[in-house]
Amino acid sequence: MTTPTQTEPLQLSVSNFGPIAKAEVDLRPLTVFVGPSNTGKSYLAILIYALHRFFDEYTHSQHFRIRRRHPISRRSIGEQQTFDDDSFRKASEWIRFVFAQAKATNPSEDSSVQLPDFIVSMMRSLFSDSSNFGVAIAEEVGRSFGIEDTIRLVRHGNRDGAKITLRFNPFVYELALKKGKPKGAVISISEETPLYINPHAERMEMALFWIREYLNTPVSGDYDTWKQNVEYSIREFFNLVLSDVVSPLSNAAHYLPADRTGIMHAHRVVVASLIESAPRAGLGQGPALPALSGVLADFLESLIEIGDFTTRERSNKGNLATNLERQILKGQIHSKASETDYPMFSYQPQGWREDVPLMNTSSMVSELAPVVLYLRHIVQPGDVLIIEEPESHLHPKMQVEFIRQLAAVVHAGIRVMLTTHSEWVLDELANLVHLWDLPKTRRKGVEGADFALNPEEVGVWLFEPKQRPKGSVVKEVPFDAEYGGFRSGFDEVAMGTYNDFAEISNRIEGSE
Amino acid sequence: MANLVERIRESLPDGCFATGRLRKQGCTVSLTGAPTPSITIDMDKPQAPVKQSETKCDYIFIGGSSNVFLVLLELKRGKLDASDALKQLQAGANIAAARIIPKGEQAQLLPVAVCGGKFHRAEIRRLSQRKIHFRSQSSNVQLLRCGQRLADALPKRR
Repeated sequence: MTTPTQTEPLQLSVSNFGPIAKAEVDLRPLTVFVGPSNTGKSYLAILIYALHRFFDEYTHSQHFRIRRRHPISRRSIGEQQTFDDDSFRKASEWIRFVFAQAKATNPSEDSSVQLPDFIVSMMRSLFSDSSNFGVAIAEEVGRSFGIEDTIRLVRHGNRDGAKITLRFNPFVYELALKKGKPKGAVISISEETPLYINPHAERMEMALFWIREYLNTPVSGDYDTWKQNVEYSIREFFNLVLSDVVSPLSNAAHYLPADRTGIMHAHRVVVASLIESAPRAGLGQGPALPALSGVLADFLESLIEIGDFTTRERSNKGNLATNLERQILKGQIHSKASETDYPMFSYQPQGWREDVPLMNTSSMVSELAPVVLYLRHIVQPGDVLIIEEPESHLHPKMQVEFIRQLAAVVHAGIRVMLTTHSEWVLDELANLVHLWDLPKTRRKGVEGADFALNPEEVGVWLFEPKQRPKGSVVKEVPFDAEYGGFRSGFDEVAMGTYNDFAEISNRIEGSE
Repeated sequence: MANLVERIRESLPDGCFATGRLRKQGCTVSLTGAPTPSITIDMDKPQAPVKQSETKCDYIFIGGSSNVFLVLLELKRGKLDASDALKQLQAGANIAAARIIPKGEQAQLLPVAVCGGKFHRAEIRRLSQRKIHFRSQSSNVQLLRCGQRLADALPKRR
């Protein structure tokens, strides 16, 4: 959406959700969740994934798509829109106007077009239908967590139920999960704030061109058939408008789970097991189909999808993957389709002629291989890349380097979300944020000089366990130069272990 | 015979003692739960037994009845600087040995660095490699956060 709202962060408020008692989080270009185990970092990350995935699918255009869609896509919101003669005429006129606007301007100038009242009214009507829209979004949340009954996501022992509120001006999205109440969600749109679209947005120009072509085609023969064709195009265009308006929530999200290393080794076995069990699913005597959470299932599906790609560099963002290979892996990650079209992943160390199957490489290679593959083949600028525990299996030096590379990913316009238990990760992040205050002319020779991060684009959120209410409370920990980083609580552990060391030493010395 | 703490109190001018919560550069330490009887010398006061230009720690706490603790305190709101802290705490130990604790008297040494900022690993490592010496005793520095109680730094088994 080409309004000032585009730069505003998404604001997510959550209460009584999983282990979380209360959280209010801004989602920035780089968002980091930190805190003790079992405080809900992954819960919140999966919820954000589910919301993105839902809006991505629910506003997608089959016709004007730019990337492969999930094969089991639900009916998009635009497809559900019907047009009477009056709205058909208004929509056609408005599309001609937007097309003219696009043609009269160039992409570099502000050419945003305000959505007319009748479009906003249609959107308001679709979004407020909790029986349709609301149930579908609750289902996506349940799917992502791998549970059928979303009531199980309510914080244990809580009677008020969970509440999720997402604000991205002028939209407010609310989802309530409560026992005995129908699950549902509505989006409300503020009356005051006008909505705009960018006619030069990716796909929008192409769609406008084709719809205008349809509209300008003389009606030869059956008027109803002609109208149906135009209506189809308008619905598809409507999806693009919706997608643009709810951006960045409609941008795709990708989730790399903490156990990705094991999956990279075992994905063939997991998929084979699922396929082998599938024919017996639903049979009373048959074994239960292995259950996977949505994030895990989507990760497996992506691995299979990666096997379809043969090119190494699909776009200039491929440099991000190549840099990871050069700086950390010291070799290349390869993906080849097998005879059955199933992907095989391997690693070619620098200077070697042969590839090594991924399962025979170090855990660091398996850990970073999916990041390389996602950056090279799947993730687009504007997308959200969620990485659980980026520090896993990495030596501290490599953790530091990985964070620098992820800063480059943020610079490339990809939104990154991390959950972490690593002090090294936060320390390097603090340095990159601190570096921002050093003028570029004085950065020469400083480690990580190319990766400075604007503090406004970074949000670090601490998950702290509390006794009353029992559950974690999430608060932002801003970068604090005087303190020397982000107040994550890690150095309290360092202080504790050091004090234990000092006490042991003092007792050995006999000073006490 | 008066307790060691009382004797030291009598030997020093009244104006050198700190009262209430200890505070330097916005960093505080609470004396709640600290051993009694006790005195705390504010080394920045003009009456303190130290020249103001001399290197010194921020406070010297002396407290306890049968087992008397000599706690040297260095407070800092920001990040821990191990080298500075070690230098200042050792200076405090030297002052205590020369001008505060009478010769032949014993007090259990406890040097404490109190910080509000980050405890960086390298600084902690530096701290662990050096001890503070007081007469025949030597002791590693204990760490406290600003706002904590002095009692939290005392040995768990007293």
